[in-house]
Amino acid sequence: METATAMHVTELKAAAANDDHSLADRARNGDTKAFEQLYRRYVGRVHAVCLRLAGNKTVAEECTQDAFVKAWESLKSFRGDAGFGTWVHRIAVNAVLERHRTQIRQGAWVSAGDQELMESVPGADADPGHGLDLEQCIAELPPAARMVFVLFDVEGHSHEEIAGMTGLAVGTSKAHLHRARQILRARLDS
Amino acid sequence: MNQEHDKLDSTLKRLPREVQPSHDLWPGIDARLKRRHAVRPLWTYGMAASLLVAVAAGALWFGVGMHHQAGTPQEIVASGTGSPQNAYLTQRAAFAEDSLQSAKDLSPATRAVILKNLRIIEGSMQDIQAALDKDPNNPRLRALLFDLYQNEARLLAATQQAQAKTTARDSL
Repeated sequence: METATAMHVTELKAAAANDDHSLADRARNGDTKAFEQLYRRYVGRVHAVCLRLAGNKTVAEECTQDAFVKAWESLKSFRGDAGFGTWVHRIAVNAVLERHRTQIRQGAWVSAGDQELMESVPGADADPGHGLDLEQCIAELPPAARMVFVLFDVEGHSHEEIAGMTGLAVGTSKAHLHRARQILRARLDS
Repeated sequence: MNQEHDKLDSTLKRLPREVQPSHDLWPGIDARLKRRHAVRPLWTYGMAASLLVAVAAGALWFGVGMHHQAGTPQEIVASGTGSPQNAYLTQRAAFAEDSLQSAKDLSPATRAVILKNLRIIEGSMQDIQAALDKDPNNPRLRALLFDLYQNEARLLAATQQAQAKTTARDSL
């Protein structure tokens, strides 16, 4: 019984040492190994949102890197009110939107429909009729419609939040969502 | 809700929450984190320029001779700060050397523009210095010379900042 209790305590200690807040604390003090653990824990989520927002595999991977580098630089401001995953996710969304704004300023927005996108979606062979099709269709949406669709329908943000993040008017955000849904329904149906 | 809505909504629910990148991004991130430690913050370039201008202002205020010293920036730096008259020139040369060293990674067109502007400023400085040799207490000439030192410091600081931004962008 005592042995079982001791094992339980050891497990609890190990779990506490590896929870997000402990890892973030260690990372804040310069421990890159702790930060790597956080990266491995959340890279899938962060990359997913970057890929869907950017519609381009290369840009998504660059934004994923940017997001984790920015997170590392901003660790001092991470107070743990939200989970680390939520926090870094928000940084990733901002990283893609910032890149979008920069590219619009430079007139060089990458065209949607990156064929490479298909290669990076897990289970593509297993579920050719649903997830994969939708991922590809999302990537092929016009950039603004894609961003609003991903932020609203996939990420669950409100139009007011999207307006705050993107600088679009609420009405424009709604119009983009309507357009995105129309395009997606037509493509999924065809 | 019609059938089309159902299809889009049901497909949305099946989207994977996580999508792993095609390769491990950690080595690139790790390299950038290590590099960040070594990168000088951008504001320090502006601070260096401000300090330089402050020294120039002090030198001009106290009437220290600002005759141009012959030689490359490296030679001027190597000559040290033995005399008070050389203190400003030494700092200026060190800052110029640092800036021009930084400019090596900039595009040839950008470097050409920087060098052209530096030469214009340098030529104007020499003209005003020659006039000051004849009329050392002329306040207008002193003010003009001070403006030129400010412009030069700003240009050199901007060069270092441009290089720092290029380095940061390349590391993305």
